[in-house]
Amino acid sequence: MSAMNDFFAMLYENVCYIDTFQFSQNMYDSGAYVSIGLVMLLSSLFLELFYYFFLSSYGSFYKKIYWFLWMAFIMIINFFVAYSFSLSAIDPEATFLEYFTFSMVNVLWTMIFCFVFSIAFKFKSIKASRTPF
Amino acid sequence: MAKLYVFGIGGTGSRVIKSLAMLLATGIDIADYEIVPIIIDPDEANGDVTRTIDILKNYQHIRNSLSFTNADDNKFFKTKISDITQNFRLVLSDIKNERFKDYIEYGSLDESNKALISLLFSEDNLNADMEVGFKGNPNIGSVVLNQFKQSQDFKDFASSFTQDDRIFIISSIFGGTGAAGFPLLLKNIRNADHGLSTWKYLQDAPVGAITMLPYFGVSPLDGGSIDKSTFISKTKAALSYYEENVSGNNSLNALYYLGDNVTKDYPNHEGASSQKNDAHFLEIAAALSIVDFAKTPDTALANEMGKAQNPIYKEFGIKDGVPSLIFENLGFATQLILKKNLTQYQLFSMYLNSKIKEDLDQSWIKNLGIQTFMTQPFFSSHLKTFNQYFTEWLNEMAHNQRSFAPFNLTANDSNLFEMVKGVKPHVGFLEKGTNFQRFNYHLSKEEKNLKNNDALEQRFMNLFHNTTENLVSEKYRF
Repeated sequence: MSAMNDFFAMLYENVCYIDTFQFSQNMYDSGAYVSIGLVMLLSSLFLELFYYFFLSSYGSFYKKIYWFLWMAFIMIINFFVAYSFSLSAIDPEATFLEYFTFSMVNVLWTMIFCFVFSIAFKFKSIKASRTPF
Repeated sequence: MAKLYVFGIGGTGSRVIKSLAMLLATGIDIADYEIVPIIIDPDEANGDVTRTIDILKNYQHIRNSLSFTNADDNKFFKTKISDITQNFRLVLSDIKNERFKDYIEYGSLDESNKALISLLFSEDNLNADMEVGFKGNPNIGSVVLNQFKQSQDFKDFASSFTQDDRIFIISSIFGGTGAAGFPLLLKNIRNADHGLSTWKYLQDAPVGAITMLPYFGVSPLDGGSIDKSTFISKTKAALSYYEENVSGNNSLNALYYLGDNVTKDYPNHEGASSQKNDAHFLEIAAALSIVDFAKTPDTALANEMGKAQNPIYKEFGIKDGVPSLIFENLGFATQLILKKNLTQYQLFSMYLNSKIKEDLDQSWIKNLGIQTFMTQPFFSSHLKTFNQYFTEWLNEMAHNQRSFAPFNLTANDSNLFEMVKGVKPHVGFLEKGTNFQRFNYHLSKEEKNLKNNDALEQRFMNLFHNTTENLVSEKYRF
């Protein structure tokens, strides 16, 4: 558990360390990085799997525009997950800007993992083997 | 590979060869024979003939780019079509721009011979210009076509004939060229010149023939030389002649008869480019007789001294005598031969004619580099032209009488799989994609199984053959 906490702390804090009111320290101490990070990682993994091996086979969903929209959908989910999980973990010790900034960092990692999973899955996809390129 | 020489005499002969080429393009099995079409028609500009030649040439171009080893899945264009004469035609000499009376040198005959000629030929017959054929006059044809033996093309055919080859003759019995040409050709084959090294092979060759009884009419035309009211009497006269000289003397191993009492009047053209009659279901049935003949075992086609030991006589029937035929109106054996192959090819043709240009963003198109391939002659010229003829052929049959309309030719992206009339397409639970999207799903799936070391033409045809086979099985259980 501690290793996972360290791993996700590294992901989040290397991008943006928030030390106002010790936001990052509190997040680390509460263990919220693990739950938020796991949701981010697993949702990116399974929702991209769903896209490449199911959704893209229907209609025009194989097209790049739908790939972008699907990734935006996963990012929005992870924004709210990060925002609500962090709020409940360290409330009311931080400001809106801190929660928002952390949630946006989570969105950034969601985007990166979605892209990595896309590259990994696309070669085995039937309709979306050329999506996003 | 043994050859099956298919002689198509007159306009009907050309149209049956056209139907045969269409069926072979769909992958219908003809017992591994190589087909050698030879068109006999003195009318050089005949629309039916020129169209058939163009179809055969495009077929050859397509087939020459493909291979058909056991490792190749594609069966479209499987049968080899080759030519031994220029443009698949047997050239008849000395009839260009010539009147019949000049051909027989009427002017140089003495009075008694002129009187005899006048008994056999009318004044119109004697003055007939033979450039556009014999215009429904078998009495002219029987004289002019008797020059087969002297024709260089006939000699080339005779010398290329081998022991395992077979011959099939297509003719109509109610016109001029076919009715006269068929017995003469048969006679010249059985009595081949003994100076030829192959004369014995020809004498004892398995020979089949189809004779088309009236199945269409022609519109009445003042002063026209083709009159449909004479079709039945001509048929009776020819049948009576065949009774003695074709079937009666066992010169043929297999004789097929076809005809229909539901007919449509075609425009009355004596010949040339304007004689371009619509395709008819009976021409498919005639082409199927060639398939049947090819599959007949050698033992059933034995000859001795040019006489068939067990001649076979066959007719063709349909299950329901409706004016517009679909697959289920045909006999079981005919359905078995036609419906899977025709449906597969029609799906292939529809995709290429109406969809491929819209789908350039499909993964299978990008992976194979189809956009460049579409500019190459194999696709942009030969396949495209052949498929246009295929669509035209289906359209013409659908609008003829009796019509053959097994497909909904206006099916589109909203009802693609309702294209086979009388068959409800199967739809799977949570099926991935509908209509052309489903087609693309199968294409993308099948594309992953293609062998990268094959030529692109081969991969393209393998892809479409396998995909349409999967679709036909999934949707129609054919």
